[in-house]
Amino acid sequence: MIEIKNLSKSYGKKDALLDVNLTLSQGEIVGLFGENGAGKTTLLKCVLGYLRHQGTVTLDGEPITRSNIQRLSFATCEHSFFPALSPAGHRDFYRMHFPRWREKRFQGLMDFFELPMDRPAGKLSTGQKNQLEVILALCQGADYILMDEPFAGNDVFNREDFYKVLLGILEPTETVLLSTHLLEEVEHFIGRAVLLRQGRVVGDVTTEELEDSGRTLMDYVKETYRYRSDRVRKALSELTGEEER
Amino acid sequence: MKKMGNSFSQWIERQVPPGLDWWTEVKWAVSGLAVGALWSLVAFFYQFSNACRRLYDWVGGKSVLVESRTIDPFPELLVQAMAGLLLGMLLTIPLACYHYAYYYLGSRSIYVMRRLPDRWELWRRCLMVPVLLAAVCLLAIELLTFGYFLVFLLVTPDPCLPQEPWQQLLYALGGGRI
Repeated sequence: MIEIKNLSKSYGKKDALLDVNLTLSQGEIVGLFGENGAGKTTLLKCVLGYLRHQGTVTLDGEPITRSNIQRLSFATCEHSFFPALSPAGHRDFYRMHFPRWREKRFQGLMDFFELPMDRPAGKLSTGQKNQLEVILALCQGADYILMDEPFAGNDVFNREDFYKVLLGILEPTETVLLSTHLLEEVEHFIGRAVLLRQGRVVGDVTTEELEDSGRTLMDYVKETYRYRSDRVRKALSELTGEEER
Repeated sequence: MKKMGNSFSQWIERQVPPGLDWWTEVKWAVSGLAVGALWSLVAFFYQFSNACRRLYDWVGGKSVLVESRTIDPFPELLVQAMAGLLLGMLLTIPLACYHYAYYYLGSRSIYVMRRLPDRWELWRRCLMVPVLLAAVCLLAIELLTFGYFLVFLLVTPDPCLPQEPWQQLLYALGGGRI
């Protein structure tokens, strides 16, 4: 279980995260939502220890250090592969460093997405780069797979394929924390949604709770964010100079 | 031989950032070393021949050794001779910086490196080749210094040698006057 307690992070005077408390149990698929600048990426990077922060992050009660960080993997839209290395080269590198590397899963996903094994990662198309990024995160052998907008640039069919494959291959012990804007797309894929706003957790709900209350994830998000549905109409009328009728 | 070449390439691939074109780096390093050594030879022998010339006077159209003269101290003959190799040593610093910056070029592969169970992997892949190159440059400097000293000892006429030449060698090997 990943436990985040009183996590705060600021960039200069700007608070990026403020007193975040969150628990991720093994086997959960959690969506992390929030507008741009809400702190989603910062939260993931703090969990991974890439950013200095206040508060604590523990993995099964232990701080995250070199001894247990291999239980976490990360797929990011910034990409974390080695651009000059081919997928085959990545496989060799990961196999050498991560003892729980999932060879069969890697081969299966590479075949499914028809990715070339010997072309340098940097020369793949944007969609293929994203696929390789996610494949590596899924095959590292981690228990907790953190993803930050991993499908930015992929077409909708491609993303849907990925969600389906993901649901099919994940083992009950594997946890996914997926940061994305694509609310409606992932609604049926996640089991829980966490909403961030201005660095604070403003919502945390399971899809079961949503179903019970007869709301969609989008309803919940709008409600939590106090979304004003008349905002666009008002802005348009102001911009075009038309009187409201 | 081919097997040895293969195991060398496998070994060096593990000492540089993954996917880095190490072969180009090796070619540059060998070329730099050759140029540095060549520069050293030219600079030393130019200084040494000038120093030897100063031991002689022209008398009646003939070059005559003035035995009361002493040749320039050995470390002074090395001034400039090691400049190329010293520059090579210094260039290993930006090379190490480039190896680190490599993890930020085109992607953020630093994230993977910082997630590896072996905490030294990142630093080994950044520093191993620059440190080895610096060591090779240093070794070349010391070997050339020793070689030059033998030339100094054997070619300089005995009466013109300094009183304790070996001390000058130790001084030079320690980096004196380079």
